Amino acid sequence: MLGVAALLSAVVVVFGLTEEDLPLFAANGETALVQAIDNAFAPVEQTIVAGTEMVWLNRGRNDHNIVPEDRDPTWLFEDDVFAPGDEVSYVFQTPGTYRYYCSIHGNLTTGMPGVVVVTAPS
Amino acid sequence: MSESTAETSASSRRLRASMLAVLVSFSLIAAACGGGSSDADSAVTADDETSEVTDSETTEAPAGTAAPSGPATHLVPDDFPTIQAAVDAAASGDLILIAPGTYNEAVDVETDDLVIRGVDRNTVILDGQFELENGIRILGADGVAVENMTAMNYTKNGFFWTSDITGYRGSYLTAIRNGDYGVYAFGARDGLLEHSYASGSPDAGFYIGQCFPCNAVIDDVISEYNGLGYSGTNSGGDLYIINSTWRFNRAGIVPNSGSYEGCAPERETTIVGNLVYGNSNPETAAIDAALLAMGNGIAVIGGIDNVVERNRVWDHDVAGIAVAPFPEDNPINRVPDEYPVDCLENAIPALPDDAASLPGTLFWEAKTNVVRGNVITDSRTADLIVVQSKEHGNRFCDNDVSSTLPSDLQTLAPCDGELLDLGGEAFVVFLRLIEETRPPSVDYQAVDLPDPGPQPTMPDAESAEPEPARKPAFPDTTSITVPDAPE
Repeated sequence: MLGVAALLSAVVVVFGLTEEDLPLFAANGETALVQAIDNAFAPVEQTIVAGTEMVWLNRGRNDHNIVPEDRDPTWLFEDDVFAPGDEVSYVFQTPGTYRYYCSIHGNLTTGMPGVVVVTAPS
Repeated sequence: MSESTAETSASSRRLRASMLAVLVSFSLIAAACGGGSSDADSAVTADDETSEVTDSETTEAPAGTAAPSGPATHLVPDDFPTIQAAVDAAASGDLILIAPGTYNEAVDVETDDLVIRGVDRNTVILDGQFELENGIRILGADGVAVENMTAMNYTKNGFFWTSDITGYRGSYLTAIRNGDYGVYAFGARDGLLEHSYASGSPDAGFYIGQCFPCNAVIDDVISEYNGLGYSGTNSGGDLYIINSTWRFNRAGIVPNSGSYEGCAPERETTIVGNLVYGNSNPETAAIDAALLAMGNGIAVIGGIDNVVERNRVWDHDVAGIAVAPFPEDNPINRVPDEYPVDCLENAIPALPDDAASLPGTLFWEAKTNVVRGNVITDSRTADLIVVQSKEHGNRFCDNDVSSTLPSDLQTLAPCDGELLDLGGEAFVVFLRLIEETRPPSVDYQAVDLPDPGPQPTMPDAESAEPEPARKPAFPDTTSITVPDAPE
């Protein structure tokens, strides 16, 4: 499974494709959780299979948000802030590496970064 | 958001799939032949790095005044039109000197040892206009000092140090009407916050959290009309709050513990020589914790080994000084068996499988605190309250009070000698208080705040040498006496 994902990633790099060029995988009913606390995502890196619903749950006492690395992302939350106790989710259907951060408490490298690694189903 | 944005037509999808199959086959062949990706990747990376270096060299030529071997001074707006541009161009140890004016900026700092200074505290104003999140935010940079300016109307924080910082200082700062904290240090050690003012934040005017030992001092600040005057979650260890005024907040000084941040529990904070009054203000913005603690001057909530000494405390609806547990609903971790050495590791919440075994409510007990020599008057429930049993070892002595809960507290739990049964009266009152409905929060953007007037400005701001932040000198608290009440 990881071999497939690595191969797809290599293809993307070598041929200058975008993640939109990769195949979509249907929602599989699985969920994975990242907890937003003050002021970190836990786990920082979450690996899931394409088709899994990624859920971010705010279990801290401060507001947080999810800002994708890509300035023109294929995934983006309409509500820019989720309050303590709230959650946001997204079904990742395309293999790839999706970096993000909470812009309130940091940037892509410092403060409150996170990454979702989406692999192709076996 | 749905996946609809990624939808393509069936025909184009088939075409892409076909192309992909061809490309995968090609890449396999290329890899087998030893060609392809590694060299190409290296070339791309090298090009990117060259590009970045070129950008930084060409976009902002350092225009500061630099001594041959000393730090440079970068003037805003004379040398750089914005504070952020000056910060981005500065080197470690440099001074950013800001002229009077209103700056609608959110400034990020990632360079160690910068000194960012306003020429005049009252006229160098960063204004977030209720759109920008943080006034000045220091991200993982050690030794950064911010001096002599005002930050107001930010949706989150006025001044914010975060992310494993060693060395920070805020001097002669004014933070007004910011949507989270006024002055906020999180995951930072070796800090000094001094000669500063904060009002109008729903959380705390001043906050130091998730650090141990914090090696930090708050000295000569005024905090008013906030949800909490001071809050410190899971902080402590050579952390001193001295010679300051905490008034007209929902609650005054509130060190506290919780599982939602690392480094729990809160412990070893020293609170000496403060004026604490009128912290029952129902007309402030307030987070839930501020509503819960409302009406208390100094409230040690689930903290351990704190010293509260020689403060003057008056005019509170509940207690002048309270020592109580924190019943945390829906915790994300347990009370640690041992005090954590690594705050960041301790911040990791329980895994989902393990979380099911967590209690619905976690009780952070307040233990072995010492409350001594304070002058407390005009508390509507009691001047001193302890909501713990004798086994928790909290001690009270030499306080000038007219009422305590339980009665004769200073006899039952003296600083020296045997601890006696404290009874259950305080628990009954505590349970009643936490069930009480409090006046709701007021919108921080709309709350009626006092005009603090001109605040003391930094001496010789235009000429003083920059001094990056270092571990502060700890105060000799034995020399601090109970302050006089204001006239």
